[in-house]
Amino acid sequence: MRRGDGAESARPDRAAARAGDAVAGPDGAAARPGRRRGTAAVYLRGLRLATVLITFAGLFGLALPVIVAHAEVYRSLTLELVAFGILLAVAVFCAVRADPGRWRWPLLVLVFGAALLALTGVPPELIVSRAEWSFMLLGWFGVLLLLDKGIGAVLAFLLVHAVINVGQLVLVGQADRAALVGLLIAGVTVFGYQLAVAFAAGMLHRIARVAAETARAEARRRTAAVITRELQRDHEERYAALSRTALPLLVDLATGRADPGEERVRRLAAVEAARMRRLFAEGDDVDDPLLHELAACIDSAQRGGVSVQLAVRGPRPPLDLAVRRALTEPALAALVAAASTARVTVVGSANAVTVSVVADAPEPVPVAQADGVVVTNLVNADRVWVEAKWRAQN
Amino acid sequence: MASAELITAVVVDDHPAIVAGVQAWCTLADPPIEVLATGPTPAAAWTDPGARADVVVLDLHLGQTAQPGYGDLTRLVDAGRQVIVYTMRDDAETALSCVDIGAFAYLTKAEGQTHLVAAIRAAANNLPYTPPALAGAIGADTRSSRPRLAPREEDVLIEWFTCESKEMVAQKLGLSARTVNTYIDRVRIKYANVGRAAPTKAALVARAIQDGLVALEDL
Repeated sequence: MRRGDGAESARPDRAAARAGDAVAGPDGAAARPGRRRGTAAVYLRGLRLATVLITFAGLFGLALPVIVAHAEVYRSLTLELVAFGILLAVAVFCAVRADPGRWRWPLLVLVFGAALLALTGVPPELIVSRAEWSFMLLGWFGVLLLLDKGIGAVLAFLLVHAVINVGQLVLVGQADRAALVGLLIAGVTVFGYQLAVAFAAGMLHRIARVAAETARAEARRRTAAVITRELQRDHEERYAALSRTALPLLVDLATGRADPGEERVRRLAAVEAARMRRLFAEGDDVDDPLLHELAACIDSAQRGGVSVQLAVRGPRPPLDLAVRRALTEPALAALVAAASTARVTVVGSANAVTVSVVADAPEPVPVAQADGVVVTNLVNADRVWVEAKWRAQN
Repeated sequence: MASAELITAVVVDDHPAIVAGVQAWCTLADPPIEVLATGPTPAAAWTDPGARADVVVLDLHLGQTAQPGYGDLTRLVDAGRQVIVYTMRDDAETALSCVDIGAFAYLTKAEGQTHLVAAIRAAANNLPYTPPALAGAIGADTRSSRPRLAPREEDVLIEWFTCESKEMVAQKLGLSARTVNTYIDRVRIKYANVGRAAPTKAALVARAIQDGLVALEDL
């Protein structure tokens, strides 16, 4: 019973395993970009954390002592303290929320506002001196708020910051050569660090993006390869199914060993034609493959002038291809051999399916039983009754 | 109702060719069945002379409606009429619904030539009649409300549905044709005895008990 059908009956398991492969392929590939993206994300998070720490260290280690030490010097200590408070609040916000989201632009405005307050509170002659603490610190806020927007954004931030400071110098009439050079030196020193961080962040973003794209492309390629392999295998299986019976007949016809004038040969040819139709139907994606494949057999008989009636009753469990072939094979032979009328019935239950044909056909040739399908024939006067019954094997 | 006398019928179908065909079968039957009236709506069965007919042959899809005419069927059955549903539809659910409502038999139009005359005769005499399409629906019935059938009864119904020949069923299952008939009829009586109460169902069961087809304790 297994012999000769082994390849087909083993198919569902193999198909399931292959389907598993197909799913695992892209999944496996998808896991890798995740990891790569993860690596880049970890570095980005680290970079961000470092920036937050630097900002806090700057606020408490540099700015606060400077403010305290120059408390007497400022035009207004309150302005300095308010500016410090605002920047501290923004730093806390950035420490808590990795992505500022829609708060990004209001926060940037706040940061520049704080810078202006701090500048205003410093006496004009001390703008380029240690007393003006905001100039060194402000760039880090730009890095914090614009880290994910690329180096260009950070550069723009620093530029605006520099323009504001130079503008203030001009406004208060302190824009002499010494002050501008002092500002320039301070700027180059501090901005260099800040730009370096922004540049690193930009690099990390790019690496993560490239890694993700590469992995996606790889997943697509693997899926395509699996699909191609499956299609190829299906083609080969169909060709194998045909070559068992149809090709020998064609060869015999070609070499003259089989005579098309003979009734037996004509019937064999009709059966093979019906099998081919069924074979083509097996590849279709339909809700009810058994009925679809049976319809292909019925269609072959109807083309031969047989009037076929089909009636279906009861629910049916899903069946493997091998079982469906075993169920439709006897029906196919009876239908093709019918002289004028045939009745096809399909009766299902939870654990059994019967395909039956009653037709005015000659007595059928006994067929080998396969895959749990039992075939019975009954001849009564001018009618034959062929029944193929499958029962679930527990 | 009539048994020895002439059996009368009314045909409700909106297709003239069907009406003409049924009329021809009835006239050619031996003894003939008299078709008192025909019409495209159930009105033919409610008004004279159709109202006097022993059996109503009812198409389930009158006019352009997509829904089966269960309402018409229910009203006729509740009025004590013997109704044979005669329809294009060959699906188990519709067949079982009609039997549950109290239709005497459910026939697909493909089965008409072989079974309609015999079904009309059986209906007029309150005798069970189960054509293959209905047998298939009953045999493959999986509803929880179905009556309990013996495995042999199920087999007989399914084989009868499959081959449409009681002779072949008997041959295949190693039974006599008479036993095959008894199994089929007993199942039909079991179905008449469950679900919605209807005078036609009661008459079917009463006649079966009277004839000794089933004993009261079997039901």
